Amino acid sequence: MQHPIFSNKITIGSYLFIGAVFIVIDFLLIHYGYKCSVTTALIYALVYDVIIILLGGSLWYPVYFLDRNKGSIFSVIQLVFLGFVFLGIWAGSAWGILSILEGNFSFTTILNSDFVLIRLLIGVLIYLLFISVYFLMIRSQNEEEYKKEKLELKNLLTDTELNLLKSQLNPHFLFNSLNSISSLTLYDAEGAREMISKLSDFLRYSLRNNQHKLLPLKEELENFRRYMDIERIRFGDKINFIEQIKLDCEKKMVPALIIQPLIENAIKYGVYNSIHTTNIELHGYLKNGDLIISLQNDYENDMDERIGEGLGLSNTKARMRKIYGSKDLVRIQKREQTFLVELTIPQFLQ
Amino acid sequence: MSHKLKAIIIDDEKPARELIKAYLKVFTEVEVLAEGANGFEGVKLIQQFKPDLIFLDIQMPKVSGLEMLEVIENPPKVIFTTAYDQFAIKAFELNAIDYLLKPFSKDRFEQAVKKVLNSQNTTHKESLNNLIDKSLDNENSKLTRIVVKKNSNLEMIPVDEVIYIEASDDFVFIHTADNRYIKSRTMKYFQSHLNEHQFVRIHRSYIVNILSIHKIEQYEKDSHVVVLKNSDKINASKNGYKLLKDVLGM
Repeated sequence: MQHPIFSNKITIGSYLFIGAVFIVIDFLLIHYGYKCSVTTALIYALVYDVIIILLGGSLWYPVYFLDRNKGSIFSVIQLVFLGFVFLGIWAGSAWGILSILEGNFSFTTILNSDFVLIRLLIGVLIYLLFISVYFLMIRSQNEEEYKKEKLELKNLLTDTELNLLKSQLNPHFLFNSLNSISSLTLYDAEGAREMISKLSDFLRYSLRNNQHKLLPLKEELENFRRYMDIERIRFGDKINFIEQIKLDCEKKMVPALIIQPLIENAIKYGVYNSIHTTNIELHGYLKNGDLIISLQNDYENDMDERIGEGLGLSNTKARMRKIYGSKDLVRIQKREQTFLVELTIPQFLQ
Repeated sequence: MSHKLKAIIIDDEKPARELIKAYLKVFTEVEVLAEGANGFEGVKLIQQFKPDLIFLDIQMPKVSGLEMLEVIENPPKVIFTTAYDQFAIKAFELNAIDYLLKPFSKDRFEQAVKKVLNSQNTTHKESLNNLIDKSLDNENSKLTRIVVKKNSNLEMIPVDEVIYIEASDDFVFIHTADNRYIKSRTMKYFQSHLNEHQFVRIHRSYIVNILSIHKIEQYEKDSHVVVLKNSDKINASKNGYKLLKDVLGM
């Protein structure tokens, strides 16, 4: 944060103006209060007050960089210590300058015992004034930053949700499937009807199950098969799909729609981007009580570096971390010709 | 009617091709000669059959329909088909090129074909290039590869393998370590679609990949010669040299 006074011409001007007023008041106080000459009062007021104006301005830095993280007692100790340093520098330098001036100008030294005490008291008050003003400024600044951060976070969340929604809808998949249905009606009415019901069930499943739900793997698999059936109608022999799920896995609980992004990724980078047959293998088995789901697909390694960093997979990682509180549950392995994603799904949540 | 209109369908989904064939049955003056499932097949089929009309899907494996079309010298008339491609659709609208949004109705399909049958002029290369530029602009992305044609094969050159690009009248030569490809594109196109921190226009006729520079030699007072990894030497103009120095941080 910039210096609240010195970073702006207007605040410098106002600060100097307040300082000047203060000098005039102080001059009047000394002149009438201690009944000394105009010269004496002027020199005293100028020396003491110019120093305090300069010191007060620089007081910002120690206040700003104060370590606030160690509790309020520590902060008070720091501030008291800073106050002593402030007063010491002020009184010391004023005394020094005045003794130098004494030799060169003829003015009478004020020898009233109250004087030094009252000066110090004024010094303490001014110190406290500066500190409180600076604290208020820092606080309002922090609050603004906090609000801004909160707003940014909120926007980010909305973006993520929107993207998720879009990827769930997957317009490319949807419209191409509808086009396939349109084509099927011409020569395979039965097949067209079949595909319409599969597409409907698939969409219903996506809409019905929110991301926070846990479902038996069996249901996820059914949805997954619907999706694969639709893609196989679109792409025919271009997809060669193998599914090996151990029977004891089917009742295990998995987050709803957790497999969908994986298969979409595999289709996108495997089938959509290949001119040959793409092998896709889905495996499911138990290991140390955890359910392991792995999906492997062929892909042709042309210069597409983005693979694996698709939106779907980063969401999957984030979801798995959020649900199970561990970040090592998604393993991605990119080999020369194959791409593998492996999910480790713990079974302690019910 | 002297001869039938020759058509080719290029789409990576069989049902989509079937649908177009079925819809075309009412047009006795159109004959479908072949089908292709991707851009590579597409280029070969176009070379072989020299069709009057192609139905072209945009989103296909590896090479999009637009990229495929880009390397064809005298493109036939085209009816684009696409399911969902916001960028391309925007570009179509700007260029008044006909396209079908999947799934399309029979009416809409017939309307598009009739329009093509009635129009005399073929697709202009220029408006196609314009279209491709626009859809790239909309995507706001830099090229990661350049699609070229060698004989009747499509090849994709990763931009990192490009050593330099040389201007020559209406087209450019793209030089790689062991080949030289011709492409009907302007220098300006490459300048704006290649990463400017890697590709620098050092001369009116040259864009160089700074990763391929072997050394830079002073030639005359105000000109320099850039020696490349394949030992080609190209000139840098005064301004070009200045730009190059900036990018290289010299």
